[in-house]
Amino acid sequence: MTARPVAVVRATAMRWVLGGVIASLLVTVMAPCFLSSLRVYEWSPELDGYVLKEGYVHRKRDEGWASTRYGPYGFASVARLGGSDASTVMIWGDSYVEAHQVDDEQKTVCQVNNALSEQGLPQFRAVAVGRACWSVADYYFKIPQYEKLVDPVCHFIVLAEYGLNDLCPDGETFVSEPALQFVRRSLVDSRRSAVIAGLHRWGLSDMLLAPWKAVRTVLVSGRNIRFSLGPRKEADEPTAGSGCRLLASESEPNAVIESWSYALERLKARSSRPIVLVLVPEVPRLERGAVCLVDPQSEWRRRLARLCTAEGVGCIDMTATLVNDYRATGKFSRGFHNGKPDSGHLNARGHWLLSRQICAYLDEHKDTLLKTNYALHAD
Amino acid sequence: MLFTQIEYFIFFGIVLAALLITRSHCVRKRLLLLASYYFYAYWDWRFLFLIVLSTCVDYFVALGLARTSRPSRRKLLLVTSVTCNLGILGFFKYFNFFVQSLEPIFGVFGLHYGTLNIVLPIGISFYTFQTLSYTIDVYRGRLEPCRNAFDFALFVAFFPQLVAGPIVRASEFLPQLESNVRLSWYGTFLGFRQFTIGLFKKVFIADHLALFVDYVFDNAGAFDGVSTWCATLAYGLQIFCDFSGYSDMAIGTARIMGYHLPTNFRSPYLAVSMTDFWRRWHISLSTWLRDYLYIPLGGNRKGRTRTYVNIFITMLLGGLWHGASWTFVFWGALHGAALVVEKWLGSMKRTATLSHLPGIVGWLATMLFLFTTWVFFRAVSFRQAFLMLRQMYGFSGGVRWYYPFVLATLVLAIAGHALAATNVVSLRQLAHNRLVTPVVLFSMWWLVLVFPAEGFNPFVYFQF
Repeated sequence: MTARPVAVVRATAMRWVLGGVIASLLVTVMAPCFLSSLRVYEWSPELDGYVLKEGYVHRKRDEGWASTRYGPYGFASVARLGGSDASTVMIWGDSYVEAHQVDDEQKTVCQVNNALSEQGLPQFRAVAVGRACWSVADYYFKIPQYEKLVDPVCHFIVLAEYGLNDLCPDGETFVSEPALQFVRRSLVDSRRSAVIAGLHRWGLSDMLLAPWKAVRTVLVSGRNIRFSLGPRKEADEPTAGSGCRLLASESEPNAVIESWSYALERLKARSSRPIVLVLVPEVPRLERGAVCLVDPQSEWRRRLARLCTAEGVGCIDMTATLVNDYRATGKFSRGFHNGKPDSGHLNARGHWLLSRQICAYLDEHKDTLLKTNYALHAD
Repeated sequence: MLFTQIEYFIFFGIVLAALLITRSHCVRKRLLLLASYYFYAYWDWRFLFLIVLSTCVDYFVALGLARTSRPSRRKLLLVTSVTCNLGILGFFKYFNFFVQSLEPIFGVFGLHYGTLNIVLPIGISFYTFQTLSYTIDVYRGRLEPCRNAFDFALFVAFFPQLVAGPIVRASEFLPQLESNVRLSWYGTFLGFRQFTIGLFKKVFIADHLALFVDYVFDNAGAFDGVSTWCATLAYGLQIFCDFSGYSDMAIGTARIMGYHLPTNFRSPYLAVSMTDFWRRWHISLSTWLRDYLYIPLGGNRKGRTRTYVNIFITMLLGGLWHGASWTFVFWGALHGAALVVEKWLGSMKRTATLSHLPGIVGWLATMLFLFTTWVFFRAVSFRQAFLMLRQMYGFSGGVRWYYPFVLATLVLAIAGHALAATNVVSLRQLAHNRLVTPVVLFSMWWLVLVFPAEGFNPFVYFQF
C-alpha cells in the first residue's frame, strides 16, 4: 500500500467511521418497519413451559403484514381469560393457528367468537393455542396443562401444514423407531429467550433488530461453511420414518395408518374431551399455470376420516368448502401479496372459512358438548 | 464459490493478506494462479483439467504461431486451437441439445441416440472465448504471444472473472501482469465501492425479484396481464442487477488487488435503439462477437445484404452462446432481426430510424422490444413464452399478484434511470472524499445482511 500523510488518513478514517455510524442509525431506525419482531417469551409455571409474554405485540412482515397482541398465558387476541360463563373450546395448531400473518380480528379464533355471537351460540367461546413448528406430540404434552387452565369442552386440532404430515412420525417429536412414541421438547431456547426478554424490557428489541438479523445472517451462512474442493455432496435423503416420505409413497399404507392410529389413541387417552381434527388441504393452488382443485392427498384424507370415525374422533374435512369458495369467489384461501399468492399460510379468507366450519360443527354438536361434565385428567 | 458466500469473503481476505505480505511480483502472480485454481476447484475439481487443457493448447499454439510464418502451418495451428476450444465447449454445452434437436431426423432413418448425463462446467463459455480471442489475436499479428506459461495460465483462470466474465482480452490483461501491480488505498476504495454496489444489486435486488419472477414464469398463463407485465419488467431488472452485479463484484475484487477489468455495462436500459443497447449491455461479449465473428464473416465490407446476413448470424450465434436451447436461439434471432431493421432503416436515410427518433420515443420502442424478447430469454420453453406473451398483450384475466417489493423496486428503478439519464445521479457522486459515500456503501451492506433472500441463489449467468 502506498503511504499517505497521517492527517489525511485520520480525516478519511473519521469520515468512514462517521459514515458507518450514520448508516447504522438509518438502518436501525428504518428496519423494524419491514422486519418481523423478535418473539418475547416468558416462563409460565402453570403451563410448565414458555409462552409469549402477556402484552407483547408480534409484528409480522415477511408473509402478510399484521400485528398480534398476546394476552394471559400466551393466548393470542384474548385480553383476559375469566369472567365468562361460556364453555371454552380450544383450537390447537401450529403456525396456521398462531396466524401471525393476519391481524387479530381476522384470526380464526376471533372470527369464531364473532360468529358464535352472531349465530346465537353465546354458550361457547373459543381460545387458540398455536405455535409455529408444533405438531401432534406437542399438543399431546400440553393438553393437560391447558385443560386445568381453561377447562374446555372440546379440542379442535387444525392440520394444515403440508397436508397430513403433522400426524406422521417426523423423527423428532414423533419417532417410529424402535416403536411409535411421542418425545417432549422445548422449541424455545431459554438463553436466547432471556436475552430477548431483557432487550424487550429495556425497549431495545426493535432498536437492535437490524443488528440481530445481520448477525443471524452471518451465523446462518457460516453454518454450512465449506472449504473442501467440490463437487458438493448431495443433501442427505429424508430420514426413515419422516412424514413426507411416508405420505409420498403409497407403498407403506399400513405404516401411515398405524402412526395415525397411535396418535389418535394417545390424544384420546390424554383428554376426556371430544377431539375434532380439522383437515385443511392445500387446495386450491397454482400448479404449472393452472389452478389445481384436486388434493393429491385426498385418498389419505379419506382413510384418516374413516379412522377417526372408528376411533370416535371428530373430523372436519375442509376440501369441499375451500374448493367451492374458490369456484364462487375466485379467491385463494392461502397466500399473501408479499409471499406467494396461492400457497403458504391461511389468509383472512382462509381463516374466515375455517371459523365457519368450526362454528357449524359446534352448532351441530352443541347439545352433546354442553351436557357433558368432564373430569380433569391427571397429568 | 459465489461472491456472495461467506466462504468467498474469507478466501478473498486470505488472498489479499498474502498479496500484501508478499514482496515478489512473481510470487504474487503464482499465488494468484493457485488461488484461482482453488476457486474453480471449489466448485468441481474434476473440471480443472479442462481449463488446464485449454490453457496448454492455446499457450503452445500461440508459441507455434510466433515461430512460423508459413500461412498453411499458421492456419493449421489456428484450426487446432479453434477445434479444441469449440470442441470442448460444443461437447459439454451443446451435445445433448443437438442430439435432441436432430432426433426427429435420425428417427426417420430408424436411428435413436440417447442423450448423455453431462454436467456443464461452470464458466466454460467465458474462458473458452477468452483463450480463443488470444490465439486469434496472435494469429492476426495483433498480439505477441505470452512466453510465460504461468502468466498465461493466470490470464485464463484469474478468479474474479473466471466463471462469468467480463470476457477479458489478452491485450488488456497480460500487460498488467508484466508490470509490478501495486495495491493502493484509492484502488482499494474504488474496488470496495464497486464490489459493494454489485453485492447490493445481486443480493438485495436481484435475489428478491427472482422469488416473484420465478413463480410467475413457472405458472405462466395463470396471472393477469398487469402481474405478468410486472414479472417481465422485474425479470429485465433482475437479470441486469444479477449480471451487472456479478461484473461489478468481479471488477471490484480485481481492482482491490490492483488489476483492471473492462467495463461490462453502461446503463443499458437508457438505450434509445437496439444498436445502442448492444453497446451498453454485456459489452465484453458484444465486442467479442463483433471482433471475432462479425468482422471475420465480412462485417459490412461485402455489400448491404451480406452485412444484414452477418449481423443476423452473429446475433443468432450470440443467442446460442447463452444456452443450449431454441428459446435462446430465437431470442438471438429477434435481436438480430431488430438490428438488421435498424441498419436498413438507417441506410434508407429515413428519419424513422429508432436512433433518429426523439429520445423518449426511441427509448420506449427499444424497451418495449427488449422486455418482450426477455420473455424468450427467461422462458424454459416456447409454450411458456407464448403463454406469458398472451397474458401481457391480451391483458387476459387471471390471478392478481402485486408484490409490494417488486412494485417499489420497479418504480425506483424507473426513477433512478430517469435521474441517471439527466446526470443528476452518477457514480461520481460517491467520491472517496465525501461523507455520503460511506453512508451509502455501509447502508448497502446493512441491507444485504438484514434482508437476505432465502435459499441458494446462484448467478443467472453461471448457467451460460
